[in-house]
Amino acid sequence: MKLQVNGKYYLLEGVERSTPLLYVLRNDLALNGAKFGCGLGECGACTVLVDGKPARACQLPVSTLEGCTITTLEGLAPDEAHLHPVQQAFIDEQAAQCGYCANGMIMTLVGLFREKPNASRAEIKNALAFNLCRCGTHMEILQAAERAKAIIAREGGAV
Amino acid sequence: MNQMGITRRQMLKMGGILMVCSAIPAPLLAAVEKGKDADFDKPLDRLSSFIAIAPDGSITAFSGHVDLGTGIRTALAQLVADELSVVFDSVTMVLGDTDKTPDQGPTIASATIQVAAIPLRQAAAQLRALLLRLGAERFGVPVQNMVAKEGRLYPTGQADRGISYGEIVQGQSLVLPLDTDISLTRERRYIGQPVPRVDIPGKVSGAKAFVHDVRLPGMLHGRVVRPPYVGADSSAPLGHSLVSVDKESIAHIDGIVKLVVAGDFIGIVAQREEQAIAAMYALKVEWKSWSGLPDLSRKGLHQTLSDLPKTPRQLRKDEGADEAWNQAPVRLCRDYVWPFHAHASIGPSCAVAHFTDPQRLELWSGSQAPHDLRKELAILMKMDESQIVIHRHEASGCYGRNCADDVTADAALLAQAVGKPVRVQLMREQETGWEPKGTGQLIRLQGGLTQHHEVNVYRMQTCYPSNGSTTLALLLTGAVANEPVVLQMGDRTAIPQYQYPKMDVVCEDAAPVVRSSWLRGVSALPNVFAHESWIDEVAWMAGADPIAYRLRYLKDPRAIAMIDALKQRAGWQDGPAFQHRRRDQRILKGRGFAYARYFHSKFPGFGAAWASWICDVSVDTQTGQVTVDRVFVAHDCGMMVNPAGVRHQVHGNVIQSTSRALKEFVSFNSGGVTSADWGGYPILRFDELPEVDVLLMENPDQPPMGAGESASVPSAAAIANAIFDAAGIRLTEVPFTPKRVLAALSEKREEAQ
Repeated sequence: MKLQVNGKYYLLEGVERSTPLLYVLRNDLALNGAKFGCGLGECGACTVLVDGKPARACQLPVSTLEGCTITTLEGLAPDEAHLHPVQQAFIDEQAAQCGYCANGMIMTLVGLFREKPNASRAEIKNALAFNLCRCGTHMEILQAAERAKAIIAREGGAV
Repeated sequence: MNQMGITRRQMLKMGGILMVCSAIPAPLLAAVEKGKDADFDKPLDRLSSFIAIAPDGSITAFSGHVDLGTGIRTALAQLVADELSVVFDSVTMVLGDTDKTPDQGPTIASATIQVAAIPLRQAAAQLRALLLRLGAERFGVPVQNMVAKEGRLYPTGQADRGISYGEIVQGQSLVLPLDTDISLTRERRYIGQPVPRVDIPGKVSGAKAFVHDVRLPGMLHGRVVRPPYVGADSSAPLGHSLVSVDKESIAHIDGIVKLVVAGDFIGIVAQREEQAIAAMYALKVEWKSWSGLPDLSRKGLHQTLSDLPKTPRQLRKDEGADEAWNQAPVRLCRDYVWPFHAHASIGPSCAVAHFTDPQRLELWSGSQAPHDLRKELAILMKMDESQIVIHRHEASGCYGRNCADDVTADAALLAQAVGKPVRVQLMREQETGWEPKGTGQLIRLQGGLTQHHEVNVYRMQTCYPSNGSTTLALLLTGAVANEPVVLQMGDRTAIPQYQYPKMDVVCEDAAPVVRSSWLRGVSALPNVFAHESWIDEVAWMAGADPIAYRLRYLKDPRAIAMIDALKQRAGWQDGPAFQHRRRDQRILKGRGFAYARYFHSKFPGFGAAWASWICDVSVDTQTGQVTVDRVFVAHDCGMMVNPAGVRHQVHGNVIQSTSRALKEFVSFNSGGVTSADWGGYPILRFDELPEVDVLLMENPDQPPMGAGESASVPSAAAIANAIFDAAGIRLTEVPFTPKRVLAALSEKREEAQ
């Protein structure tokens, strides 16, 4: 199977077709961003973008993703000095306590702003409604979302 | 013997030379004095805190406490930077590594800044004094004429002659015992500033930030199979319940390296993670049948907690309390019930273990208590503690004790069985099911009042059936017998902070019903739910404003100042609860108050930050749904090392405890936990958030107090009191579910008729 992740092609060998994308990303590609949270698609910690849309890597058999463009947290920015506006906003607003959910929050927001760069606060809350955070970082995450929106607008609206 | 693997020689290799420790072992101290090189390779035993400086001026500081997502790594570095007068970036904190850091106990009780940081700050202050002394010798000036600033030393007024700290310590070799009388700096370059957390950039960009991200060459993947008595404790036959394992049942799965069975411990090691997962679910195991849990349902919990065998422990009894009770013309007696709650960490616990040689076990763990865990692992693995090292890595948020220790022990057993590094992560249902819960709690209050509804005597019985939760593998393998151990944890904040004339407070200690340990706020959160619900009801009986009534009994000036400020901030309108509210609408609005200073640790314990809540709720009288619309929360933790960190902790406490009070209840059947995932244990979502208004009291000259839990403590009572204000119903059992609200509304209507 061939997989396109963060702009690179990977040939997967010895991987069952039913293997969830999450384990391939973490164990074969050594990517840290997507996290195992529930394996049930309930918490959002494993969120990646598939063809630009947020998707739950714990639920996606890797064989269904051939020909798709997969982006992980690591693929949002070319390097640390040029982070994606959503990532930068998370740093600016200190929007992590333990940070285990941060990947899912960021990827979901990137997906949202691609569709709706001017998403309202209610739309942001709805988009994040099934991304769970236990530390209670919600206030900072919402502030980061607002800040990201402002950065995106300033940079001309491209996400 | 608890040995610290690190030696002075290793310290020297780090470039160091100047160390401050709290307790230098006598032989080493002698060697230091004599300057014997041979002693350089002796391990340093039980140091309480120390610091090393490299020749480039970089500072390494060590703490036995760990960062649970609270930002403590950053805050400790701020303290060290100011104490030493160095730039923040030159300080690196090493946290919780059992070979490098002192055993300061588990990271609990909001005690890192308040307690564990003190020897560290003293060590840094002492190091600065030592640098000044060395500088004075170098420059040939009296020490009082030396300046230590921003990592440089120079005689007063001669900054251009300055030399770096690193330069002056080269070739030196000094170890000082900690001087606990040394005064701490007044320097405030970093203390009090919202210094950005050092860990966040990595966490938002996919760097290796968590124990889950540890990968070793040749690492295999493990999963465990637990007995079916999910989350049970000493009443279940853990340790002698396995009947048979059908090895053939996983023969069809590729990549299986080993099936490991030791007593009731079952683990599977595979080449790939998904293979291990497939095998754990496919493995056919027969266990003894058991269904011995009492009724822990919403309806049955009260009676079950009441019936538990308990040992009373008198915390306080004032003379004449019995007489006052017997003669009380008016009494208010209430039972308050707190449910079992889960930590519900988003990431199931994970660990990596590797025997680097048969005599040395290295572990990568998210433990909240790595030094304690090492003691348990020594028993489990039949090794000396000195042969085990735990590298503590950050993990998914933990608020007391989740399965981090359990999975570390699991990984150790599997790594031993295959002789290769093994990574183990628990599945969601294993984490939620087996994590030691915050226990169900029954608090029985009986108050004797005067005819004018003044409190004469306050009688309380409280019970928090729990212990430290022995690491599971020890019980499963039979290394430790599964017995009903009791830890005395029900007494947190059990003494009300109101100066009632007479009190009679008893903590009834009991063994856990199911696996239960400490969870944020421990017993204080339930105890304060009782204290603050009860006084609110008495205030109503007295026809008094709920806050004004409390102030009759509250004498603590910091508490009073904080409450006054909060009242102003929230625009509190004086007057008795409920009476002025409209009652003819579907959605009823109400406002409630609660206050507590969180007292934790072994009774009588000590106080952390003060906190109080004013919250606004809506009660839907048709559906019973309670919505917390807005929380005004005031918080006084004295000096705030990092005010942004404090604010984030307050936010986190408000949201997490609102979730606990409104929604959370661990479900059981007679065989164990049935709340397996986020469907069975829902937590507050983004679309259910209250607005949160945080008022941080400015007391920079007061010592810093723990801020990790206090803002949770008034939560449930404030919400319950707001529900009363809205709808005239008193909910005495958490969570405040629609069903309970509807039942209370219906009962109220019946009473009215």
